[in-house]
Amino acid sequence: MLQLADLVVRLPDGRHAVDGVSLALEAGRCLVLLGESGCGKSLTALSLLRLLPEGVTIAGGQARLAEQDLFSLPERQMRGWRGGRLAMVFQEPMSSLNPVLTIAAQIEEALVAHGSSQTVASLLADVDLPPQHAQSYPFQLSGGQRQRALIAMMLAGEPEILIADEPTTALDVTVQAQILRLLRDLQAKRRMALLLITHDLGIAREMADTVAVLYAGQVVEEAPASALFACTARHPYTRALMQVTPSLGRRGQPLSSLPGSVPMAGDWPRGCRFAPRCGQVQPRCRELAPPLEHGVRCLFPLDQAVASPPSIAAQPLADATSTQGAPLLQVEDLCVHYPIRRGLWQRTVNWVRAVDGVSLHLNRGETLALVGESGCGKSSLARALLRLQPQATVRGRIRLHGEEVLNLRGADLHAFRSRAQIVFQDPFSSLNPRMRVGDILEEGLQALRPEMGPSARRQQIERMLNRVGLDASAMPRYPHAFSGGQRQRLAIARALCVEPQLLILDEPTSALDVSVQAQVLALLRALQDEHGLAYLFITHNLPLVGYFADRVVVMRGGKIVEAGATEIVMAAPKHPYTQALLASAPG
Amino acid sequence: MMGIQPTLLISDAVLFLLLAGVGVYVWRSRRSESARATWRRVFAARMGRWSAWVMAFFVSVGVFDSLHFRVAVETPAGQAQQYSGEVLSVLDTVLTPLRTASEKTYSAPLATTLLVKESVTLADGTVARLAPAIAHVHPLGTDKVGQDVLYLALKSVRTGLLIGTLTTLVMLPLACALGIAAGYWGGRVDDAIQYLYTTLNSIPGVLLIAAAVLVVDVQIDAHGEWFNSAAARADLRLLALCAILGLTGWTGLARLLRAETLKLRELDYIQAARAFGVSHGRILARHVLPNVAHLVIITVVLDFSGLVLAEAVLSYVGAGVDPATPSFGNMINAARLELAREPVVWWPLATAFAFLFTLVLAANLFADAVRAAFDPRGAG
Repeated sequence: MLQLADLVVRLPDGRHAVDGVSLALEAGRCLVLLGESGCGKSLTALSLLRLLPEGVTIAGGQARLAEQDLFSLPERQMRGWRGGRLAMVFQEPMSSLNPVLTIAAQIEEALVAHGSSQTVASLLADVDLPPQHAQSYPFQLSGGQRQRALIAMMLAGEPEILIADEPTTALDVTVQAQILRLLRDLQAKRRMALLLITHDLGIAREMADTVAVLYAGQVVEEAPASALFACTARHPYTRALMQVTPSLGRRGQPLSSLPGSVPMAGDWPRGCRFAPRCGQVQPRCRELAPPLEHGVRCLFPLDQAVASPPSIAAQPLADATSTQGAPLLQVEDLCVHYPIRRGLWQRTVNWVRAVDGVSLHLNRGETLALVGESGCGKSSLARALLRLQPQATVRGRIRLHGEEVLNLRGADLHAFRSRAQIVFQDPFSSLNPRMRVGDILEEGLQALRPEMGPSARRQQIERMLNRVGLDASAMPRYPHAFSGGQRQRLAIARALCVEPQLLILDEPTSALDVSVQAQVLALLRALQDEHGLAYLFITHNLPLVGYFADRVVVMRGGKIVEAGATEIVMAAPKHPYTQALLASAPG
Repeated sequence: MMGIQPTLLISDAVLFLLLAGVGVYVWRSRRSESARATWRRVFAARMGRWSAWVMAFFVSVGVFDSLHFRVAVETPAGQAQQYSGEVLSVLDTVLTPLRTASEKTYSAPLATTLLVKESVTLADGTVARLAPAIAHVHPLGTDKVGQDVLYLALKSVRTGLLIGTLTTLVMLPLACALGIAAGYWGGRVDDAIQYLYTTLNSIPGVLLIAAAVLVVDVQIDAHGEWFNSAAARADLRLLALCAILGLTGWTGLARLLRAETLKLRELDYIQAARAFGVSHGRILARHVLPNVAHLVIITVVLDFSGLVLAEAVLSYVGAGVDPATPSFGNMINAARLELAREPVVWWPLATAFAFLFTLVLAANLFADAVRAAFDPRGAG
């Protein structure tokens, strides 16, 4: 139905971010555009709507829809086609909806714009949003409801093609599953073509009829999903992507490594763009740019039948779990309550019980996964463990090494801080953009190890940088000069500088590409083996838990609903909530 | 050879202290490779270089105008040397031809006659109305009392710079300390500070400033013995005005900084610093302040022109600088009557406008170049 041919997208500085992408969309089918960050997948989608950011231009190619080239339509006509024939659902539903208009008003606006005969009520029914939400404002809805409202708006013009750019990345797993199901149902019912953009192999496997894998601005492999996911990916990159994705089945095995990271737009190597990271690279690959032949862009495509599916039987990890004496961290009946203050004198009128009676323990050298959806209190718990909750009332007992953490004051609190550290989710906000890497790493040492001299500090910093795979040349540079994965390594090095025993990992890989995630996980595993670190691994990603954690604790509404060894919880969850979580995980 | 006596007004002392501070900063950054590289980037940009030259011109005018002295007067032998009551500056000596070449009243730029006609008794005894010839050529004309407008404008530079920098000096610590404290600690600290600036903002600014200036005026008038010259008196009034403008002018920037700090304090790198037990003072100095610096620079420079204009407004209600002090405010204020004349006297206003415009534009461009050079994303 829609034929995109040889799309080239040029950035303001003349580099090409998308370099000859061809795709075909068919009514009633779902094409998944799969790729890591920076491969050009979002720009491809935006080009179809001609909504590229300022300065970014379509430098070549055609997009034929009903014998018309979208790229040569006058803007006036294009405006009618946007939403009318092609519609797009964005990642962040909060910023896609106008906060001061009701849902009904916004859907109505779209209906009027397209002269549609549908009604607000029918559209809301189509997206399974109860009719009483029509008069709600966006902030009154949950993330999933907002995404439904947005989809309803997009359906107002009865589009033939629906483009969804990471529509569920900002949502919890259970909600994500619902939205994906909704998209699939709508697509079938309305005979739309669906172009779904994602970085998540699980989502691709669940949704796609056809998958196009994008790498460095080019389609490197295009194949029917059924063929691709039967583990017969023929391009080394696709194969590697599948092998670096953690899962319960790969427990105990190292993830195969995909070195380096996706090259920046325009910084592409000569010859095959994947050659520098490819395991099967041959001399010719570095010279000759391979064409896309039989759905794969590789001079030496892999055989279809080689790979055998990984063994599914979960193996217990190396026996680090066996408890030697008392646990390192023991939490008993911990409550973190935030006061809600009102009025002139800020009287406390109520409490938000973010964490409400949580007990857990963690041994040396062990990884405990804390799983839960947003708002379940897992981050509050992490901050309370580190005594970073000045605004909240924290009750209960936290013992690290038998020491009552909640009673620590002054010098003792300082000593505690060097024993427990944290790595945050977003490596872009966790490093001060105006400090040099050397200063960032030195900060903890200056505060916690005042007895160390400048040269000793420098040695320690260099040692840690080397340990995380960087070197001393990083020290005079600013964080923005590093990629996401490198920044996360810096954040890990910063925490390790003060030689902690407990490391709280707050979604440490969820902002990273899968290939980089595998590298960071391997690093964390090696560090744990070396130093006997205990990890409290906070995440919402269940396959990752299955791969990485020894034990798992599932949290909901500030309480623990299920706890146990990972193999057992993942294989036979007892609590209905854990079962729902597992059932929702894509893939 | 007549002797001179160097005279140090309070504002001179403050200005030189400020220059010394800049000097120390320059000396220290010369020793640091990264700071040198950053400043090289400022001057490598064409805008940065040009605006720096213009700023340097204005600043040196201001500095030369701050080297004050009094000239010795004839004293009978045997008595202690007496000095004139008039305080002059090095700039005045440089501009002596302009300073002393005064006319009776208005004359247009480069005119040969005064603007107004007078009844003149000619040699043959008849009385004619004509514009008398003037003694000197004035490139930018003369004002009501016949003073050269170029000289006035150059003298006004010091007043403008002082009002801009000294007010900022008073305002900046207040705005930074209170705004960042409110955002960083929140809770009751925030409530108290918000209460303070909301109250301050709800009082009409001009009223508050005028009242404060009048109070200071009364004090100054009551203590004539504090001053040994009219210049010292005018100088104290200028300083008082700066202090008052600063004490009332911090609210806007404080509000901006509070909002930005509220956002920053939740960021992970500040949480990480707290997890390291870094003290609040250090977090504020290393993590918060550098990340709000761009707001401070932009606001301060934009406020600069506002302050000079505030001085004009205050002169209008009689609460500005001393009427004898040359200032852009006084020049603009006088234009109220001059523009209503026929023919229109436009040159004092046009000169004040051109000088102010150049000064503020150069300050803006220079600040922009500095901000860009200190942004690590541009450093590569």
